[in-house]
Amino acid sequence: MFLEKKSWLKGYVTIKVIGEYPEKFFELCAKNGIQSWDINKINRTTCTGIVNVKDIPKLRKVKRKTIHKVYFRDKNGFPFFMKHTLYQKPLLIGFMIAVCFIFFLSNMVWRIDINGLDNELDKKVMEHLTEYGVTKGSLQWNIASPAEIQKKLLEDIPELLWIGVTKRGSNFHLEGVEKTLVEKPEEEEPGHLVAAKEGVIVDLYVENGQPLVKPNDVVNKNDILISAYLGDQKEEDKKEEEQAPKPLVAKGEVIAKVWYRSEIELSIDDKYEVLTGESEKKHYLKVIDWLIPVWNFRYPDYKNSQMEVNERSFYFLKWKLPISYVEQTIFEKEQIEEKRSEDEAKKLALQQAKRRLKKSIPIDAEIIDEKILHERVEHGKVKLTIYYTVLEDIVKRQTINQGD
Amino acid sequence: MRQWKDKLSRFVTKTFDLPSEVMLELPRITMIGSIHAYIENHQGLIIFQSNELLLKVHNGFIKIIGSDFVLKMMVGQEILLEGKITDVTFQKEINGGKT
Repeated sequence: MFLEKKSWLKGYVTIKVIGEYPEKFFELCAKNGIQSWDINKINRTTCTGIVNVKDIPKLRKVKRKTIHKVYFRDKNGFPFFMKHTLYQKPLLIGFMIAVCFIFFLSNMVWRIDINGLDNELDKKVMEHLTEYGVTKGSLQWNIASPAEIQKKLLEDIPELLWIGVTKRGSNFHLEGVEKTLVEKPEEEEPGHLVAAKEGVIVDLYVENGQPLVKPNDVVNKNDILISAYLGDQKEEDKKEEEQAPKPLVAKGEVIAKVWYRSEIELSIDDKYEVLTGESEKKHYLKVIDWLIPVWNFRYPDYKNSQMEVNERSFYFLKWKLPISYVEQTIFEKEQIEEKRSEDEAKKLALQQAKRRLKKSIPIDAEIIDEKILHERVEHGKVKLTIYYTVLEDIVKRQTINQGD
Repeated sequence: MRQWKDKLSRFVTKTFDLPSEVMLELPRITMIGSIHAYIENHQGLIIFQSNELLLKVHNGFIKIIGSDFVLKMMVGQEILLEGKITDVTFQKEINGGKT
């Protein structure tokens, strides 16, 4: 028989046995597997002892067989302690309220710090934050995630170059960088205007300086278009040593025809996915890794779907609780397979190439001509080589090193 | 028959060097000074008072006399007695009859 210690955690009871030879009762208990401690004989007919709480049912059975009277006296240990505390309702309620209160307060925004911005912008950011619901004392679970706030702020305040939003417990910490709109100082340094690309000059608008090219001239890259020196180039060369004329700031626009060669590949069959617009919102409570559905139990029968998960966690003091609220949005996705004819593919390829080109040329440039140089169909793909003629301003500033 | 059985078990205990209290159903009494007595392998408690403990054991009784007795623990065939022990006697019968 292994011994058990009298344990406070499990609880124990003091019993008082009255009858002839009360020690016999404990003897009987021991024989029935009930452990007892601290047996004291008080007088000829009275004995006290201690038994475990869990042995009490067994003890009752033993009691029935004897003529002894058994009284339960002191109840000690954790189970009784719990019972006792649970009966003290005000204490319990108070405790619950306190926990709820702390929990509630832990999920509030207590401080918003903004760093790195001047007062005006600081105020503006604050105003926007208030608009989004981020104020002192607002509940965190109503607020969008820091990443979202960051995105919104950047969208709404054009003066911000960047803003970092981090959440540390109940504090929001914002770190901003102001966009300093650098007024591009007119490069007042004297210099030539040279060609940025090779092309054929179409038009010249000279504001300042000596034009060295005429329309229909072919220029190479880095050829001087508008010189900073007035007068003839040759003359200027001669004079240079005697009395260098003061170079000007050449200004002007030179529109030239520039050619671009572009190659593009496009598959004839195309597969792409689109969202149909059908969506289903599901709400969960997440406990550690278990998702417990709270609202919207049905699972949409979408063939293809895309899921967006939005998770919000709860805090207790500074600790993140393992419980969080998860909102899932399931979008229906559709796969579209398109079979194009060669002609269509070609058309599309042309459009794409044009779009690509437009990205690389200045906004005010004009595409005047496009020519398909080469075209072939290979492995289910259309390959095109296109030649574009573009009218664009090709000037590039080149400052004159005036020497020391 | 009984004697023969006794002889056999005694022989087995001796030859195989087994603990005698297990084989022979004898009580084992461990005492710590005169304050504790730990009795194992007894066969029943007969009298317990604050100055006397009488236990049934194989082939007789054990009588412990002293004062302020408390049974610190009681499980199955084990008893831990606490108090001031003055006398431990083995008896053939309940009233006297020393072995």
